[in-house]
Amino acid sequence: MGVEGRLTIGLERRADGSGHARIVSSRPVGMTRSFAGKSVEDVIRTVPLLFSVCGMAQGTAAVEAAEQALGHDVSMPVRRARRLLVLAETMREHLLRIAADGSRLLGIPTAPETTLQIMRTFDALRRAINPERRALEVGASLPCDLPLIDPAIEAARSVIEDIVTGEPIERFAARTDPDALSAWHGMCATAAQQLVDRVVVCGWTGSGCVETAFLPGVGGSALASRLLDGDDVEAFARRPTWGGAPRETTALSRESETPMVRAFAPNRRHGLLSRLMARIVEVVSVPERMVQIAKDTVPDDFPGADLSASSPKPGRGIACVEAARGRLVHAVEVEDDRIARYAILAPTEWNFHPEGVAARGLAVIASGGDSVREQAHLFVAALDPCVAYDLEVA
Amino acid sequence: MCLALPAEVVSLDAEKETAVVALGPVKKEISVALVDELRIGDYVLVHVGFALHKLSPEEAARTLDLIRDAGEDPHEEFAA
Repeated sequence: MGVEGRLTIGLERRADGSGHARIVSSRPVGMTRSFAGKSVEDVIRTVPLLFSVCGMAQGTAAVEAAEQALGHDVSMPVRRARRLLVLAETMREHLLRIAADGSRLLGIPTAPETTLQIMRTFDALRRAINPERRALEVGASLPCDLPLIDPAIEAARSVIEDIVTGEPIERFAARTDPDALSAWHGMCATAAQQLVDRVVVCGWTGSGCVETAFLPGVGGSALASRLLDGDDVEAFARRPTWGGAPRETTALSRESETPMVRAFAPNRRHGLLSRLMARIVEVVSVPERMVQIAKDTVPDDFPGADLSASSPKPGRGIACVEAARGRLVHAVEVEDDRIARYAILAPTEWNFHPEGVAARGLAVIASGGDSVREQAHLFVAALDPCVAYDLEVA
Repeated sequence: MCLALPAEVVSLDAEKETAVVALGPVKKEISVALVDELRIGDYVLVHVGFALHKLSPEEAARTLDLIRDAGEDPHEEFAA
């Protein structure tokens, strides 16, 4: 088994017509055991290098958990830079996903020039936000001004218009009723429009439609204890539940109340289309959110900010970051500047829990007779696991 | 791919902006369009077929050590 593991998803239509989805994960959640005994500085510097898909989110969660454990205050420019880096990464991951899904429907791989365009846009943002690569260091100090951020945000806006909206973002944002959205995807000019249009034309808008329970805000003390204390911490990190049930944490859990998403979620039951629209709405919002954060008009948009009210005991730290695929949590216990315990709780473990939203939505798809495999691939992509998966349809 | 493995540049094609990178016996061709002034022997972080940025040899060694300490083989991971 490779160190990152993978998901195996099996779908079955039973004799009584019901569907069943079995999800088995080989993701090794105990990898953080190897952090024990190492210096805080070494681990925090290495974490963003270790995770490619969400290195900015992982690095931010790691450093903010460590800073809390060590009792460091974090300056406003540093918090701002970290939030901008995570947003830039969210933009990159959402655009790569949309481009890949649009290409999949055409039966071709993503055009290399599209991938390069996305990666260059992210790289320009990263350089503008964090030119010295110091924002993810413990106790970092950064200047207040970001002289290169405006052109980098404008470039991001342009790429989002190329790959997603096909029109100025402001015009797209005004399309809040179903007719206006229908006219939008009917243009079929961008990867996002082609993807949504195909889903609508094929009648898959409600594919995998189930009620879902989003992960609520969780107190830092309780969560740190759940991740660091007791004999079953790895079992919890492997199959997390909260309030006795699996929870969903995705772009949809952040965007479910926006009008464009609600338009496709009757009775707040979410199928394929509202999930795709949540990712689209979120990526389209990134440039304006970056402008607001760069101006300091949005002081803190992470749920981690809520954790200060119930901080874990001294020597412990916990940080929550809204990464592209959902909420990412790091918890750490420090003794004499060395890691005593460390835990990571990633969104893939919530969303692909054996009884979670992926399993329940895929069971609905498996109960249908036609195009189960294609719908299942789109549904899994809409939830976007951070590792590869195998899909078996019986 | 979730984990990023530092890979060593073993050959470069400046015109195509590509490189062949290696981790132990495993080699891959990647784009280096995002990284300036890359030279053979440098270490890079790879994501979706792109070198994201250069790493120092110390950063590369520290990352690989963490993976080995977790009881995993980074060569196998890179080949996946």
